[in-house]
Amino acid sequence: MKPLGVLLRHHPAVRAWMGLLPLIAPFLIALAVFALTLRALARSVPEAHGAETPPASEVPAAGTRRPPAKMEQLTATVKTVDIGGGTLDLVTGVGLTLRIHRVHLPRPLRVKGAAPESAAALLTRGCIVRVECQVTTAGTYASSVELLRAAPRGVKP
Amino acid sequence: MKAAGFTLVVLTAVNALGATGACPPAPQLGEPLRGLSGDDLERFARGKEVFERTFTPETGLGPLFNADACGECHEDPVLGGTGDEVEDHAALVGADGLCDLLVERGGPVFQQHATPLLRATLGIDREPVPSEATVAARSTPDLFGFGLLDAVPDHAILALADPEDRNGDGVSGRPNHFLDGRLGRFGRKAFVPALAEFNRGAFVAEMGITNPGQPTEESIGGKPIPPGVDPVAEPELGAEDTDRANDFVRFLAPPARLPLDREGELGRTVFGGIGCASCHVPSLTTGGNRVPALSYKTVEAYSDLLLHDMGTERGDMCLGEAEPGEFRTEPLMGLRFMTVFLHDGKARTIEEAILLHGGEAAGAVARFKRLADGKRAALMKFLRSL
Repeated sequence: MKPLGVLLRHHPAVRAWMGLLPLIAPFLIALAVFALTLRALARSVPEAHGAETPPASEVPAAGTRRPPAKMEQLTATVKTVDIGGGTLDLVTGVGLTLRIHRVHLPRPLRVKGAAPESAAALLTRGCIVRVECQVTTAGTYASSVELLRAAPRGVKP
Repeated sequence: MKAAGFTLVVLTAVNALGATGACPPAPQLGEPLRGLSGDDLERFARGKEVFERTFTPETGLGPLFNADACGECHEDPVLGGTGDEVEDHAALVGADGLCDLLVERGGPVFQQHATPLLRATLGIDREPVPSEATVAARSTPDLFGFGLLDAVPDHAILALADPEDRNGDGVSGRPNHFLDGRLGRFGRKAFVPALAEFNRGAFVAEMGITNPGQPTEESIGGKPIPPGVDPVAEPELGAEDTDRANDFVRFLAPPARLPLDREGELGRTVFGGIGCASCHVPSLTTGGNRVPALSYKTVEAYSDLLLHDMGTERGDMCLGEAEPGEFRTEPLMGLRFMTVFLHDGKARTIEEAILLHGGEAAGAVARFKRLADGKRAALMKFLRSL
């Protein structure tokens, strides 16, 4: 009795596919390269929420490995809003040492749980937001913005 | 190091008394809470070393600073106590009515000293305060019992709030919140939510000592530190030392109250009767805590840790949601050891401090003024027992 491998090698259907292999191999390799390129491109975009992408200087040269971007969550008070410029300045702190973080907003601007047309109006000085962001050497890029609390009415001078 | 070892042996022996069922004496001022584990006592002793350590520019001090050691200010009558230093905080109420903490100008703490290198480079001997800012003087509080205040659950504080004065007693009490929305409780305006954060921030704001909790230096009036002026790499204090210093503060026992005689008991009744206890709530209870000595304990704080309007005359800066005239009810534990009173240190006696209360306390002050001499003396005796 012949081993199974030998039987299969001599089967007419298998022999026909083996004959086609040299013809379709280049096509299969091209397909694999295309898929890998698409995957790499998808990973270089901060998030699937359409966040503003880091500038071109942040894109690594061909053949080099991109340093992993640091993902951070900031919960902070909004100090200034520049919808046109696409940025928020947030104030965070440890005790009484306070720091300002400039965050680039996603484009188009979306605020979790809010209609797109009202998103810009929700972000005002003094409100508290939670921002998921990617920290790169070029800046901090938000992938999502959530309004936690509207601005207080203000303090009496 | 030998001193710390000796302290640890003594502290362990005293705590062991409690473990054997014998009633240990109440902690003396500057001693740790009773019932701490051996590990926690060791943390306390090591933290004490960090707390009293003097920093220099070579070990990270500055470039701007208010003091060169925690213990330089918190020193009287023992380490962790009060001090005569008064520092400058500042903020501004913006045109929109919101509080501007002047972060981009170096606020809200403006340091009063500069290292020799910074002085030589910029020609300044302190951080400049913006001319349009409202400057607030801040005296040095003692830190006894702060770990217990830290362990009081938020809901216990919020349960005391009455922002709309629904009970109509003229006293409201409302919470302040930190930048991320958490309930604040530490600092004269109840802005900072947790003791550990307050301490990590204080290393930087008061001494310019960066640490893993706040690894970036303060700016110089909002401008970057000139090259070469701060040569020590960040963080200037490691996680271990930072955490131990926090443990020292966290485990400092509140001062034991003095026993009250009949006059003192009368004073306690007067304290409640004229309305002081509406804000200076006699006791709070901690929640569950990893440290048994902090878990479900009653702390005689004489504070509700909420903001109250003290009147426009006492008002200074805003902070978060706290209006210029609003201040957190100052805890009265350790009152008898204080040498100056109120947030700005303006009062030299307890009586003067009472009379300088305004706003929501106006009614209580009016009743205080009407007290017969005997009752007033009794009230003073009670307050001096705290």
